[in-house]
Amino acid sequence: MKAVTWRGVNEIGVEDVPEPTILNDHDVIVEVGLSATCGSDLHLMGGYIPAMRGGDVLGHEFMGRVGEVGPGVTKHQVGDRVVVVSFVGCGKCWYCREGLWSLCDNGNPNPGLTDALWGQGIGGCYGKFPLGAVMNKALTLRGAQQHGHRYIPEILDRMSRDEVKTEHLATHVMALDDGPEGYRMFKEKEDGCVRAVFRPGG
Amino acid sequence: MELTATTTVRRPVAEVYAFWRLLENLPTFMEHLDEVRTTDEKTSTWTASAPFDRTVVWEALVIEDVVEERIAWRSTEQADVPNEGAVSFLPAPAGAGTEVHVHLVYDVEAGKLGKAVAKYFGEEPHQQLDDDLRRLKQVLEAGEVVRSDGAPWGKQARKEFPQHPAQPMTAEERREVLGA
Amino acid sequence: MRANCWAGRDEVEVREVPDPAVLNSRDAIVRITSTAICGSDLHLLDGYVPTMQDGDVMGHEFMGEVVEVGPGVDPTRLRVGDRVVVPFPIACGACAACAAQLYSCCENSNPNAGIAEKMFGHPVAGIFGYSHLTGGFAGGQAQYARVPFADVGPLKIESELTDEQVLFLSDILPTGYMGAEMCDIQPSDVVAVWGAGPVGQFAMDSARVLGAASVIAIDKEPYRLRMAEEAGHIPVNFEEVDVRSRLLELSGGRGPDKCIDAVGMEATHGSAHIHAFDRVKQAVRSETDRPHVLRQAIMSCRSGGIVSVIGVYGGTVDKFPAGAWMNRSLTLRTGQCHVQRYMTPLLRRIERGELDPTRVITHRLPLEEAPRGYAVFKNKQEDCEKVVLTP
Repeated sequence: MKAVTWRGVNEIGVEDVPEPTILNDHDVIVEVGLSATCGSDLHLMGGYIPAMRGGDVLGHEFMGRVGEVGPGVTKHQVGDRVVVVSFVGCGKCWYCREGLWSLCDNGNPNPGLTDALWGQGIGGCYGKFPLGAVMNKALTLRGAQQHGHRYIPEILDRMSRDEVKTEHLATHVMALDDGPEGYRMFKEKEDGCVRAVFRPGG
Repeated sequence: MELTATTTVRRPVAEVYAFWRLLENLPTFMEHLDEVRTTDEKTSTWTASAPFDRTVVWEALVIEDVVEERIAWRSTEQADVPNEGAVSFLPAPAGAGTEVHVHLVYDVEAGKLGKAVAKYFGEEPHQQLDDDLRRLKQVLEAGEVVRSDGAPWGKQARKEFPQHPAQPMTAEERREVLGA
Repeated sequence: MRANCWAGRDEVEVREVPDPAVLNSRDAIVRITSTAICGSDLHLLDGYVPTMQDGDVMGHEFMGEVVEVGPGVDPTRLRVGDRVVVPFPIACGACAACAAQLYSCCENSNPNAGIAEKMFGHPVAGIFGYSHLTGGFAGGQAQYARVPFADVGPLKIESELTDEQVLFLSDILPTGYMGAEMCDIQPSDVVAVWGAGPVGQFAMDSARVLGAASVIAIDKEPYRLRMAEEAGHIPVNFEEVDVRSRLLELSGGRGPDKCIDAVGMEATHGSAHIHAFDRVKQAVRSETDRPHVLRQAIMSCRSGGIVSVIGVYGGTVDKFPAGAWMNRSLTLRTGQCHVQRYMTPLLRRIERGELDPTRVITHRLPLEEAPRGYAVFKNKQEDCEKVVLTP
């Protein structure tokens, strides 16, 4: 199948890669209908996130139809139309049960890496942080990657009532083959590009 | 020179407007003003301290007065430093008080005192207007301009740097500061 | 009157100064019966807080008897003869911050608001004896003090409780309590407190009172850790063990659910190398605060937990672990204590015997010996934990 891949710093390509297969009982395979560029992909593109390798398939915002389900899956059936949350949450651990899906204990097969980066060493650090102002003005700082599973039902509900719209943000819809060009336009904010969205189906 | 500043006072619009509309109240929080005396519905005489212990006096005319919304004024032709100002009062969201938006213009190019006034305002002319509005808040919310041992002068706090030490004043210093 | 004054970096001196007088209509004059030296006074002593001037009267923890009130003081709230504990933040009671009970952010009590605004983006409340940045108000390490907005802050003590039992309602007991309260403590929570000074001790006691499963004390002074242990908390000496590993052990591998920084800008660190790096940067003022504790608290806290900061910070810090904070959904809560909010409920807890503030007092000195009190407290001599001064 075709996929947009990271090849090196600021180098995006389209290549043929093997099709995914069920590896765990709770996997499904999604036939991607639409996939979007995200601002955080630019951090990957620019080489700011360590541990990227040439050939890594990009993209964490996508939706499509379920093409295959693993033997442990009960919630979805082949043919279901689904939006996929970017974070892999197991749904069983303490964090997932608390609604803190992006902190899932079990969704990351390489926990040692992030542990070293964010739990122990001084990784992802910010210099000249105005802590005095934070302290004296009694500010509360809340940080989080999105706990998408928690919010999607409500957002879908609001969309059905027209309270939330996102279509206008998909300014550039293009074929997956144009992935590198889409990422370039997105990064350079060319031609009013807010989001490049790819159609793997052409 | 054009200055704008905004504050939110936790009092109803009617009260904040009425306080400002009584122009005699302005010197209680505006550092440079010594006195405002209204002569009739629209005209008033303003007295301000200028650099080098000088006093400037000018006549001002209220040119716009929309009750509980907006007041605008300007100096008349003879002013040493032609100036104009406007203040708008807007209800803060969810009834949380009154937003006070102030806009002042001093013509420092014209008039004989313009340059001295520009110098008086210094490199950060905004600071004085910001401080004026802080004192407006103090007067309307807390009843008066707050004094400390280090900054006992009330509205003239900014003049005192380095400040009086943060220890009580002597009786003599107190007489000088409080004028009593 | 006699008053303990700042006399330059590393020097305080008891001097003769004028008696205070009423300057604003809602002032009261208080004859001070007990006053204390606070850990944050050491930041002033060490010269880390700008805008101190020679002769500034120190002290923001004090109590005494009202001997004079201004004409604007509401007589139903305060009268001459009342025995009062005075909260350290000066608050008008009328602005939006006070209405939201954010008393240490009072918008009207700091005549030097313009300076504070330059430093923090917004002004902060006036504080007794705590530099001109917070208003230039004379402090309470003296025989008398002028207390502005006297019908808002001071708490009347009408029971027979001793000065020592209630004095710390002025600052450190509410500060420690707020540190624990900001943690939103659940029955399953393991709470770790960095700093076993007086504020840290009270944060630990408060975490227990608020229902934490266990409370851990982190420090390097054996006598302070002993004091915490005697009060039922688990001691961890950061000079003897790797803090993060020990915390994981004590929390089933999860990491403490809630972490409290009760140290602030002058932290020392188990690793001499990192300490030296920050020390040098602080000395050349390229970094004003030394944030080891905050870094370690953020790194140790379990994902989705709360890091509560009550140690005082004044400026900027380097190497703030923003990646851990963001990716692990941490919440950072902080503030100078909104003392007025906590005084009455904490007085009730003292009356009911749930909290015993006197347990931290190790030194009782006359006001004249304030300089010696600062020295033993700063240098942690004579197992000094808390100094109370009597004018």
